[in-house]
Amino acid sequence: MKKCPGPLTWQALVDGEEDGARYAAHLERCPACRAVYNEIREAAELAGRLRCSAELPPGFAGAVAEKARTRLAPARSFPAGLAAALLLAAAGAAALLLDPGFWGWWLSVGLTRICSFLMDVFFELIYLGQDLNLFWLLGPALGFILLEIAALKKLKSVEEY
Amino acid sequence: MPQDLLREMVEQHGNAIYRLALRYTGDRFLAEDIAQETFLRAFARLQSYDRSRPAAPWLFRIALNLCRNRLRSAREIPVGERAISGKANPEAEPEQAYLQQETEQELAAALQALPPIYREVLILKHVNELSYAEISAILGLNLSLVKNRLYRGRIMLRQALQKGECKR
Repeated sequence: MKKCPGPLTWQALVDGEEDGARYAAHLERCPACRAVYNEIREAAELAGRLRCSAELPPGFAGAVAEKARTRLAPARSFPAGLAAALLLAAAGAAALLLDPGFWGWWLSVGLTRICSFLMDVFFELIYLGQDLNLFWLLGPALGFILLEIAALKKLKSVEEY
Repeated sequence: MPQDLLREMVEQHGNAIYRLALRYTGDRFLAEDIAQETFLRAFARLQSYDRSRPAAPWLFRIALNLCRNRLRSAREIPVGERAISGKANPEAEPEQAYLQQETEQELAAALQALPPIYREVLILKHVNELSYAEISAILGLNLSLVKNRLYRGRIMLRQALQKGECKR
């Protein structure tokens, strides 16, 4: 080897990425290269202090798996939201079709009870589906409130009638 | 089963990802959070992941991106105030434990002082003990750039540590 290798070659040698035997003779007879090599080796040893043996707390894998499961929940709980929306639509249609009168009065009172029951069912479904998405929570809740107002209005009109 | 694959990935690479994040951020809690988020992101993208290829480089890439982003938003927190990784050896004498902790803090501070491009190469080399080729694949750099950054990074780290010693 006539020409001195550059510092990156010595670094590769220090890191075990180059064949040591190939450069051993040169390193033996060239003090300048030996100085560079030693300097790189010292810097590498110093950087070697970065090695750490820290470990994740026990139960980490379980916690990640649990979080992954809850993150997937919105897709699985869609039927819960869909069921709640269908119930809302059915109750809404019933409210619209009701006429004030004997049956209307009775049904309007019943509708108020049904609304609160449906809200309970809805929140149960949301809870069971683990879906705390704000849209699914507030959207149907708002719908139920409007339905409740409609029912109360109808009730008032029945009383006036 | 994706859940089984996730558990396998956590068991196989969890500590390596945690150590990378720990050295990158110097904060135990942040590192744990990053490790968790790394696996959750990987899990969310399992469909697009080619399972014939090794998972480690892919996970390291996700973790590094998270470290960069988190550190950008937490830049105002001084290193000294973070929950540094330096867990003192419980069996060590108090004085020795103190010195050990101080050395660890100095090392963390010196590493944090480096520009991220050098810090990343140093961490992948010395914390995760990866080869030049592996580092090059993770960072998307050519081999000579990896060698160059490692060389400069080591010199800068040494200078930063020497500067810290002089201040004492």
